[in-house]
Amino acid sequence: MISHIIETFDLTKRFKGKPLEPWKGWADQLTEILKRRIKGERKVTVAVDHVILKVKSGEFFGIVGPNGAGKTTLIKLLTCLLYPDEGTATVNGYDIRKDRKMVKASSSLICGWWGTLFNRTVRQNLLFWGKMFGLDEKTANERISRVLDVLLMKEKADELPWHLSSGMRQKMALAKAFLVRTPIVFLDEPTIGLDPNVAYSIRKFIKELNEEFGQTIFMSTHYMFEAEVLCDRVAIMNEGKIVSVGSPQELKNLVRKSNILEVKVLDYYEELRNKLKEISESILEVTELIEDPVIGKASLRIHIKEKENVTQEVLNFLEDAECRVRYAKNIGPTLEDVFITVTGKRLE
Amino acid sequence: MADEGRIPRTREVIWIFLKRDLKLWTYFKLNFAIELAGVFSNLLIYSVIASFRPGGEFLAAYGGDYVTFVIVGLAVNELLMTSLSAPYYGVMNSFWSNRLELLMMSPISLQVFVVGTSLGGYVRSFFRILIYVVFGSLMFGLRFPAANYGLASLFLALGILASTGLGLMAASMIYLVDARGGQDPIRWIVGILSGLVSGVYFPLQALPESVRWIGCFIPNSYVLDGARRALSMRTAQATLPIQQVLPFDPLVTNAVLLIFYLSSVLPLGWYMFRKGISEAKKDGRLSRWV
Repeated sequence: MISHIIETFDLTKRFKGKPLEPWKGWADQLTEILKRRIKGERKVTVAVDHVILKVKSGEFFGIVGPNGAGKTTLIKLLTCLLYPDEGTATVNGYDIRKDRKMVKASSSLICGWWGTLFNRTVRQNLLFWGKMFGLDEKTANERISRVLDVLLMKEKADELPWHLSSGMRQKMALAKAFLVRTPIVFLDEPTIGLDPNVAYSIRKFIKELNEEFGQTIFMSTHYMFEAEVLCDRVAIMNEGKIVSVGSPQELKNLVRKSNILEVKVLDYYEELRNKLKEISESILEVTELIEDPVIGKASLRIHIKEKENVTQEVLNFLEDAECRVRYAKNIGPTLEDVFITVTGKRLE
Repeated sequence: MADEGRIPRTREVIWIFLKRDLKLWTYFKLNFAIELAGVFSNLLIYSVIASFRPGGEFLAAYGGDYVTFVIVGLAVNELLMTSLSAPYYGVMNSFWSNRLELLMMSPISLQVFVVGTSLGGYVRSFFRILIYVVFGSLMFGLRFPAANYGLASLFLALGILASTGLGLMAASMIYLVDARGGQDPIRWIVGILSGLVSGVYFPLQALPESVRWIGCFIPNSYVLDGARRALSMRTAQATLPIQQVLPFDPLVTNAVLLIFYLSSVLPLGWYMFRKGISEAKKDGRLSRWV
């Protein structure tokens, strides 16, 4: 019995070379390439930086961070789509450097519905992937019916993917992972680009499928609330490094020491954020969500040093700036607040 | 409950790749019809050319009939070009349909991937060859009265393996020199040489000897010459310059050189192909567009 189904040991991936500037013509492009060759310029980006992680069997594990944090690179390393430069990892007990075939047999990856065979029905698509992972036709067909039933897609089984909405196609992609029932399922940004209602139903189904089939799920997302809702444990990744790991509650306890003042305002404009930060040294960070730019409806989260109170100063400032305050209250932290605390950065 | 990791059966995976490609081939009916019409138009063009009795005494080594000469040429060339292109298109079709990473992370081996994604192309080729042969026989009296089909098949098999080696080299160019735009140096050079100096459309003796030597660098020349000799009355008349240099029967010369060619090109092609994929997995270009 393996104690940890995924374990990484100083896993590191570097990418060489800086991308060229946007196209400016042949002469400029060639000059740039030659200049780099002569100077020997080879900028190195450390996409995954000595990552150490342990994921338990059956766990719903989330990896969160902004775009470019290294989440997808980490998943590609764990699924053998990329080779590491340093360190290694075991997936289902198999080393990603030595036992690639067994690592691949132990895991499935969902990264959007790309790769769908558009001239085959939903059932035929799933059958194709089922067989790629060694299922016989009878078992595959039984499982397809079961998974489509859970996903409420039974009536779509004989339709072409062309005729489905993008949400339905995403569900079809998810069905693939739970059809082959590999011990580990990697989900790379499963709800990216979907409208809120569809994203909600996808999240619901991921959770249901995880509970139904008991597979370990390793999901990357840059939606903090998604990780908070779904995951048993979360790792926060920034600039290739894992900066914090724990259950959502454990992580939120890290920022309990600071206060968060939530303020809902009207007539707000973006330039106020920096001025707001400067009104007191007690203010650590200000994040804003502009809900309606026309009327300046916004939701502000002001991180304040522990045991300090700047509520009155904030309200005075907003009044001077002619913003109408709807309400202001001290609230509990979210994972986004944790991210700001542990990285010192706002999540763009 | 989750399953333990499963390894798929090779034969079954190859079969589903083949079924997928055949369905795709016949899915767009108009394209399929145009492809068929192309085969017939080729037959028609060469039958008109044949009416001018081209080739003359140069065709003596192959029985003297231009229609037979060119139909065998087209059919053999079809198979060799499929072998040359199949690995490249296997990777590129998966790349552009965003399926490459999904396939590369399934537990199928690289060999199964290459064979599986190539077989559909061979079925299409055999189908076109069948049309050439059937309509060539019915309409233009294509006959092989003294054919040694076993020998002809041997030359085809050697040619397919040698061209597959070149095809793997061509596919390796996708990642080794970033040839992802639909063309690569290997297929480009072999394609040009095969049309000009391998003897698909006209007997090589029609070319100056110095030019004929260029044809000796690609396997197509030996396969075409060997298959034609095996399908017609055997003569010892040399058609390729190298056959005049080596002290063997032209058929033996062709076979020996083909075996030599494939035993060096096939392992090299496989090494380069694996190297290309491995490089892409190192620098993250497996499915990246730029």
